[in-house]
Amino acid sequence: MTSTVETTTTRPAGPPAAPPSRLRRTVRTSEFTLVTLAVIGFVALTLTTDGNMLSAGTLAAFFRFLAVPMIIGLAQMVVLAIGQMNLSVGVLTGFCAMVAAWAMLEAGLPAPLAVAGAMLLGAAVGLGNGLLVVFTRINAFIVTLATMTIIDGLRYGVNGPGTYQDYSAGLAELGQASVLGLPVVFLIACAVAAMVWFFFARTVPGRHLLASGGSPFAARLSGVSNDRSIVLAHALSGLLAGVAAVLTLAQSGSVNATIGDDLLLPSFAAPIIGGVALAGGVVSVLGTCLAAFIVRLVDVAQAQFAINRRWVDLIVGAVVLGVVLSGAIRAKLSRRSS
Amino acid sequence: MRPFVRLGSTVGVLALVIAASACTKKEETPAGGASALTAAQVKVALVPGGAHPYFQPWKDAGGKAKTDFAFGDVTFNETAGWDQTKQNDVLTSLAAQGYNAFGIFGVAPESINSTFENLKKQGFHVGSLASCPAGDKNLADFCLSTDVQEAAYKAAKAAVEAMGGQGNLVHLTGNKVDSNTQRRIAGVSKAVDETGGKVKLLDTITDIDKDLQTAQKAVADLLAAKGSQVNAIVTTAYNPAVAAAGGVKQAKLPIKVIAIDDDPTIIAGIKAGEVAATVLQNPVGQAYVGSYALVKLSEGCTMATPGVIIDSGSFVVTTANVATYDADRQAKTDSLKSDFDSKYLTCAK
Amino acid sequence: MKQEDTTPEQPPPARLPLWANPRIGLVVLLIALIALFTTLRPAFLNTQLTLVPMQADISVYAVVGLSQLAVLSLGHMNMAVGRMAAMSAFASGLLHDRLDAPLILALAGGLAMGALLGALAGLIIAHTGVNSFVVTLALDFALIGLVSLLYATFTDGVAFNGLPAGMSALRTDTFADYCAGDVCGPEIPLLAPIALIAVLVVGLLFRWSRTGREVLMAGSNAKAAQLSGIPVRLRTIQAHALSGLLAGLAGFLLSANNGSFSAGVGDGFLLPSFLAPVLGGTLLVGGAVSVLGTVLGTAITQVIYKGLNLLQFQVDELKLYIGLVLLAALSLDRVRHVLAERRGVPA
Repeated sequence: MTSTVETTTTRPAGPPAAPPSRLRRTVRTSEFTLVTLAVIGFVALTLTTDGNMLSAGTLAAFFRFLAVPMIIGLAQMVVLAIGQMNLSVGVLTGFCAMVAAWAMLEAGLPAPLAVAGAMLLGAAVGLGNGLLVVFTRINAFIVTLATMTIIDGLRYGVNGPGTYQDYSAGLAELGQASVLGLPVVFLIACAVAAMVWFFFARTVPGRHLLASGGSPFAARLSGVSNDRSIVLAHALSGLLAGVAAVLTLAQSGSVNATIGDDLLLPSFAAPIIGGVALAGGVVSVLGTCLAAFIVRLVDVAQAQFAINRRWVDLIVGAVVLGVVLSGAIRAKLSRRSS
Repeated sequence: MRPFVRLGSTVGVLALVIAASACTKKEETPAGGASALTAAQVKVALVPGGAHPYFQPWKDAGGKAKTDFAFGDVTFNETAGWDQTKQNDVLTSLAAQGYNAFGIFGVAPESINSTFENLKKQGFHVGSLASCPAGDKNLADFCLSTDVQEAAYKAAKAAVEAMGGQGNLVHLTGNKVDSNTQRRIAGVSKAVDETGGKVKLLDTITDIDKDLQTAQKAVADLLAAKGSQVNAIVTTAYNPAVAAAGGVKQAKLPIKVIAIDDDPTIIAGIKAGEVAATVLQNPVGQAYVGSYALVKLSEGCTMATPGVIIDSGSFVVTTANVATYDADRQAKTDSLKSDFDSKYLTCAK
Repeated sequence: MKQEDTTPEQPPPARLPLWANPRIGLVVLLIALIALFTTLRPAFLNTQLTLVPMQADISVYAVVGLSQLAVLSLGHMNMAVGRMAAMSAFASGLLHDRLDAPLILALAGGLAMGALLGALAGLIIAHTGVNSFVVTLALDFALIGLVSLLYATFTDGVAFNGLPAGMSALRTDTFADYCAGDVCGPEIPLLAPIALIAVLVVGLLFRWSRTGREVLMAGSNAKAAQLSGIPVRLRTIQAHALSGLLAGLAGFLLSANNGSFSAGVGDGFLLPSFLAPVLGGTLLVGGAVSVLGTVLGTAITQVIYKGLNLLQFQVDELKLYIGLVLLAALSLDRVRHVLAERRGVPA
């Protein structure tokens, strides 16, 4: 009932593809579709804007605002990996950012400490979510719905409706810095994504987590603690929200209690378009990042052509539905052909 | 079990139909007619549409009004969360707590008249503050608000001036499906039209006031796409204003930014020269004079023209007058109050 | 995830102690909350200012909860409840504005629009097998855009001016305004019976009708249902259509309550739509629903909102307490459940 996509998505535990069909299998993966889509979109935008897309300024803006959606998509993905959801990622990002800004401006902490604090805070709140889910046995969707309301209140409590800015010159510089034309915040996001990939592909807890998500029963039989996996996934999700908060602080230069309000739906959109199954057990770091890339392309196209924002919502919705439908049709066809 | 359910429901429906057909509607007892209160009995509630920096001065202004006019109590409640249903809930809760005069910024201008009507029916006095209902009708006793079209017009004029009378202008604003946004868009295009083609409105970007990050992203994308063509940005909402000031500073482009209101961040921007000008509204005057009028109405005065719409003023602030603008605004507040005494209120005494 | 089996089997009533009945637990919680808030703020029992508006809100949000419940029965979600409500309010408004449709026709048009959208979602889900969360989320995105584009095209931007005759009576009047001779009705808003009808119909549907029971069976085990000859796809589409229909009804009730058909209808529906059924004991896994529990869940949420509002908390405290109270209420229900289990009572 909940087969989202072909299971050819990177499943770290899966066997390597047989040599003769490798090419066909690669072509059929949803990552391949996404890469193709991303490249086509990017080239089309470059051509239609007479190369403006490739100017340093545009590229920098493009990648700078890609960093947070990528990380927030991953934050949702790690919870989806165990078949649960985390509705509090967005407000948690805002809360961590506000607390860090408060720590720097009002409590006078140096920026590195505040940054570490933001990530720790995120992880701690995530841990709390996980423990609540495990101890109350209430569905994570509902638990995080309640904690979302609580964190929303706390986020507002930090500074009311006011805006913090000029909290750290160093952090702001980092947010604007580029290496080889790529913004540092984006490179950091890529590094974090690589770590998440490594976690799922190469570490024992990561594999346990996927095992719990894929089949809790089988995982328990083979000695994996599902409860530990749940707590770990939520803590990791919180930690990633903390990372997103730090990146937001660095790139935006000013934060207020509305930070994070735009992140909840994209946090689901990226992994879903990227081919992550909601039922758990399957993750795709690359797919999630590529999906964030494609959504960002839509943003930029909107600015370049001054499209009405409402059309963008309509188009994004239609595109997601289209991707979902084509995935289902592809699955049907390949089932028929085999 | 089944037959019983069927029988039961049939009987129930029949009974309802019979009861309904025998009913007649009770005559409405004339609404309002609230007996005059003494100032000490008046409890004023100031209810914005949600948490927003714009409304913060209402707290102090309400407190000051309470001491100056010696009325019973004042409260400030921003828990409506930009949801009309929640705001209605907040209002009736406050009424149940004994508040009997309301200064309201309606979340949804198109349906706020119903809310006013409900409150007035219970005999409360209502002022629409900082925003008037959509359409021509205002069912509150009065509406004391910035003429948003006029304010946007002034902002666009300031932008035209800052960019030297010609070039390309971009307008950043809030929720498109809001009648106030429509008025702002009209105000900006009026100012642009007056330049006779010298200034071109390159783009109007709506729906970016929900949260700061969306505004920042929109500004970054705008500057990336058209930064070299844009000469000035006029903002008529808070988050876009903060984002535009910051974005232009980061991009180091020679673009003039016209902001809105006097949040500390914006005033700091004016002083640092990052913001060319800002258009202030008069939240203090709205809360202070609004409370005054509500107390007077509760004491038995009536509006000369019920539902009258009053402009609470808007002021252009640049580096030239950033130190002194508050005096102008205070003067406007004072004149608003005396206008209420002389023009808008009819008091039997 | 560990999930206790809550198959639709009815436990023998004799063995069920009173405290272990989830519905009774909710009633006790509701009474306790009302008593608490009344002690803290006597104004809680003010008829005109507290009880009547609260009944109207409960009516609206009970229907919102039922709309979600209709698909929770399958173990599905409907992330587009709010936008289906908005589309249906738009349809009602358009019918009245352009064709001068009377109240009943406008309502029927709105309900049809909601049911159609729900059926569309159900059709996609049933025929592709894609997760309902994904489909309805994407549909929600598409409809957000569509709703405001439609309003921008057909109105001056925001809302329809004017309401069908009789609609403002739904907002302002209670039965106390209608008298037969000297006997006037109780202080119940006119919206309440409409919601009550919806509750009764949905309750009867899931309890007594073949369709409803087949939906539940499809929800508890789709494969088994398919094998035993239940048309699972059709039932999926029907459940989603019912969800859309109820979302449409909720949109109409809210429009009546707020006084206009506007683009903002349904914006705040998503979270309450889950809270009410879940508080009422409906699981997200499907196969079992509690209609009465949903109504009680709605009542509890609204009582909490109203009570906290009366206590005049500021924004941050208000949200904090709402979240905490909800967590506490949910955990209490878990405690009851666990206790009941330990004593060997299926609850």
